[in-house]
Amino acid sequence: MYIMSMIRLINMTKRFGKTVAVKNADLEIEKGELVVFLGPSGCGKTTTLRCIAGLENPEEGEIYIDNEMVNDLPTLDRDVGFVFQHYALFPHMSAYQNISFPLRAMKHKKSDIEREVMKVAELLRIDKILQFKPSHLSGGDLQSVALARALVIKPKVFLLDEPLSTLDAEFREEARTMIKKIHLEIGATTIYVTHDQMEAMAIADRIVTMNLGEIQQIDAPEYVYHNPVNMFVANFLGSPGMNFIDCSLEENNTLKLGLDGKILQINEKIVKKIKAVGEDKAVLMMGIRPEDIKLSFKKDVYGFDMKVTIVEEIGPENIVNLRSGDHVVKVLTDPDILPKTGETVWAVPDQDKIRIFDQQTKKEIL
Amino acid sequence: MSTVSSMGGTTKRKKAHRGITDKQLKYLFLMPCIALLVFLILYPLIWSAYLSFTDYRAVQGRFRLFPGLVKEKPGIKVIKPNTVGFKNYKDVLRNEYIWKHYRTTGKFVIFSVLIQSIIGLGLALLFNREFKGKGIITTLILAPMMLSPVVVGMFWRYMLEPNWGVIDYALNTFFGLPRIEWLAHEKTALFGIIIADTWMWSPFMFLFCLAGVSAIPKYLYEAAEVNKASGWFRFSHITFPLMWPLMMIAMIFRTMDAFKLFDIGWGMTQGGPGFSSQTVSMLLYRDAFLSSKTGVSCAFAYILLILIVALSNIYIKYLLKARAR
Amino acid sequence: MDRKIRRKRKKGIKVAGKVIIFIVIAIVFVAYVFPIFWMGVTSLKTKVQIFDPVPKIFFKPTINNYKTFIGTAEGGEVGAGRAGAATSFIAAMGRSILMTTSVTLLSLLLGTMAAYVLSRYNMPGKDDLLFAILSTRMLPPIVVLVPISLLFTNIGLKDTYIGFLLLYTMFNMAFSVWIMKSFFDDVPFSFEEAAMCDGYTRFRAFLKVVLPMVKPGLAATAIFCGILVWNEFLFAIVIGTRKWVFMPPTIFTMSYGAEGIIWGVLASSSLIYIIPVLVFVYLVRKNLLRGITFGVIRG
Ligand SMILES: Nc1ncnc2c1ncn2[C@@H]1O[C@H](COP(=O)(O)OP(=O)(O)O)[C@@H](O)[C@H]1O
Ligand SMILES: [Mg+2]
Repeated sequence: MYIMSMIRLINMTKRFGKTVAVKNADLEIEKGELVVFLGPSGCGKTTTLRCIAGLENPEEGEIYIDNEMVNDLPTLDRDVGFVFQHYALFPHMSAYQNISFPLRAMKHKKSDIEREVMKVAELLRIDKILQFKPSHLSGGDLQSVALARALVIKPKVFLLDEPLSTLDAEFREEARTMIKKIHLEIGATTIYVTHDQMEAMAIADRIVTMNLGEIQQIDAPEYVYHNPVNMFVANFLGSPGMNFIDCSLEENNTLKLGLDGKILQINEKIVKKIKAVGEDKAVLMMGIRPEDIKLSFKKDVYGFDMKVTIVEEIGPENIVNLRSGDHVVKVLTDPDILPKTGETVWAVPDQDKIRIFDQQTKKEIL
Repeated sequence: MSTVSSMGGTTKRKKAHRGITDKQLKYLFLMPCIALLVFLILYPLIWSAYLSFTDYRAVQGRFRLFPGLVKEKPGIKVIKPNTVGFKNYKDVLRNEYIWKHYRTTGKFVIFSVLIQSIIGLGLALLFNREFKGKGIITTLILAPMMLSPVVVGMFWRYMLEPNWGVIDYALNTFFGLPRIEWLAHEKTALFGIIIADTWMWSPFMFLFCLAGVSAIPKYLYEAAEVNKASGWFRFSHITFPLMWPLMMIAMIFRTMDAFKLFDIGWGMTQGGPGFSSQTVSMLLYRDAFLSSKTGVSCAFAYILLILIVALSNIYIKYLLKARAR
Repeated sequence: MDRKIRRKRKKGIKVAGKVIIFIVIAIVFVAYVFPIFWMGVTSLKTKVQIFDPVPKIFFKPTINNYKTFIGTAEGGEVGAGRAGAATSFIAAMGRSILMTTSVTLLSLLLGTMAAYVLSRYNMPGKDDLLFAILSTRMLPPIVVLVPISLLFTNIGLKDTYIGFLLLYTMFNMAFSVWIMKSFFDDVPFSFEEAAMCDGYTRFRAFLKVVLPMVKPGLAATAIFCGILVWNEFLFAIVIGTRKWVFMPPTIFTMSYGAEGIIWGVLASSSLIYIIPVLVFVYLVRKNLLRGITFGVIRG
């Protein structure tokens, strides 16, 4: 069996005592791809990355890099570049010494080392600061030095653990663009770990969404956004995340909503979809993204009425918070739509964008 | 280094209270310490500076700066020694006998500090891992340096005894080495002392080195591994440079202590055989207290003092810098 | 292919490495502990057993050595067993205990006070004072001992309790000040500020709020100062010639018999003498690091 993939995880499990940090991970990454591991803190992103680098040894499963089983291969012999979350630069070495470190460790010729270091330094625009020690460098420069140190050996696989998390918000976007640019230029297979869904959406070829040590979904950013496989993914992507309202299917193409039994008229298409999986009696969950709801100021059978609590004006859009009982629904509207607090409005979901989940399994009903 | 500098506000507010003010507390707390320093260090040093220019010998009688200030007990002679200029210093500096002692001391310092550093470093690397009973084993290894040096010296004299000493017995029986009369030969006596000193003080080096090694964060080793460094390269480029500041501090302390070696040596050889294992401290002790050459001893002590002050000056500066890190 | 071989060998090396490390640690441990163990063994041997050219670990033990230096053996041994040795051993032990306790208390008091000020206040010459205090640690004691001895003779402090008390406290000063300062430096000033906002005076804030927080430091300082005094030898033989003779010189002289050193007596008296130290080392093991390193390393 010959598989044309750069990285391949088969049923990999890593435990720390009783905690299962990564559970039965299956993953295949193409050569030259930029894949983002996305998930909340503690979901096992770093651990997965460290397993690939060989810094942790999984208890079960197999890891392949470039079609070679690397489970017993020490980190030293795996062809990976790793950028640590807090950079892990050597404090007693200058930027130059840090970047040249792997080459020196591999006993390259001095002239070669200098040439290679200058090449990556120019690529990352840090050729002016090479003589400084990490304690004298800014956050952005530290990050560039860390990237350069990982890149200088031209690794097959390039692993980045939340590389932007310690940067100030203003530099983050710039750095993100730079990483994308470098990826395009070098073409190394890259895994990029983050907990920031915006970052993931902006940079990824494919997103691997993780939760509680398990991979939830592996797909292109747009696709994941519009076709989340379960409630977790649906909620984690997007800001604000998807709204969920529990509901059950009733007669005449209607949904009885968990909002005091309010009734919502829906398309036959959705009804058919629900019936096709035979879940019409089960308890369902309706999901709808905030930008897929329109507000109507008069009664609409394709909508449901709620009270306006707060309107957050965030510039290009407004976030309107609606409430009914304990339920809160968030709606993204144009900035000129400014309902008054306490006013009753009808939230009208875009029928094509309504997603139905099984409340028990939290999975989307296809 | 100091935690507080913004004290102005509180100081003023406090003045309203009864009791001691901040300022009074400051001086009250510091005074005894300064008084002791002046009384037992500064004053004796000034006085011995003066004595070093005289031909005073303590056995001749008492020397009072202000004679007649106290009523002398009967039978106590008060004398006024003669000033001799730099004669004492010249004598000490020209004296080949004294220079030999400096060389002995230097040899002792270099060998003991070097051996202890290597052992300490090795032990630190050995102990830089988790294993069962690490805490108690470490504590027990540290015990020797808490013991009375003179007792340690005497006991090692017993253990190094060629005929019934356990060390020579073991070396002879297990390794077939000839029995050595460690402390009876001019060539080996100093090494006997170095052995005992190393048993006692290599744990000190070990402790500092261990602190240095274990303060290196694990992620730096991971970074080294990811960046292709292992074995000797990792040690020479990561471990050693990062632990060196602390090891250096320990070596400073050990050098200073080795310079003043007295107790262990006195317990083992009392300087013998001949004066082959006699350090400057031992010689000074003999001259000053057994031979009562007071004036000369003061000059001798001052030369030693200047040497030590010059050394420790550099060292303490380094120490303060390392501490401020 | 050759990579596979390397992997396998690596695993083998790992296991072998662990075994070797275990053995080396065991050897190291024995090397450091053996002399103390041997002291215990020797203290239970008779003269004949001690002079056996094949030193034995198993033998018929006797407590005669202990009896001898305490002075209750029925004749036999010379040297330590002589009349007067008994009283001198117990008296010397008593003096050592008394001096160690008093110096420790005084060092704690003065050192803590000075350290508090040096940790909390900024003043001109502070670094110089700290430097001066530390340099007393570097100073070979013999250098100042010549004038101090003369000074003590002149003002009648030689061979007295007060003389020793002041001298030892001075030579503990570097230690007590630096170690306590490092503990005070770790207590944020906001604790005193809070207390003073509650109407405490500075002095009461120090006493009631800060001091309880540095208890481990007090314990470490006390024990290290104590051990320093307990073990001191040079001052003891220079200043304490007749009345104030402490244990280390006593062990030293007591062990010399007519026919050389009486090793059994040396071992037994030394063992009795170092046992309290070992107990204290055990008690303070958590703060051992900071104590030994002069507070240079935060424990
Ligand atoms: N060295 C470790 N020892 C014990 N538990 C660990 C260790 N590393 C990670 N974990 C646990 O494994 C889980 C996953 O951690 P991690 O991979 O760091 O998550 P993420 O990078 O997604 O935030 C967490 O519950 C964490 O507490
Ligand atoms: Mg992480």
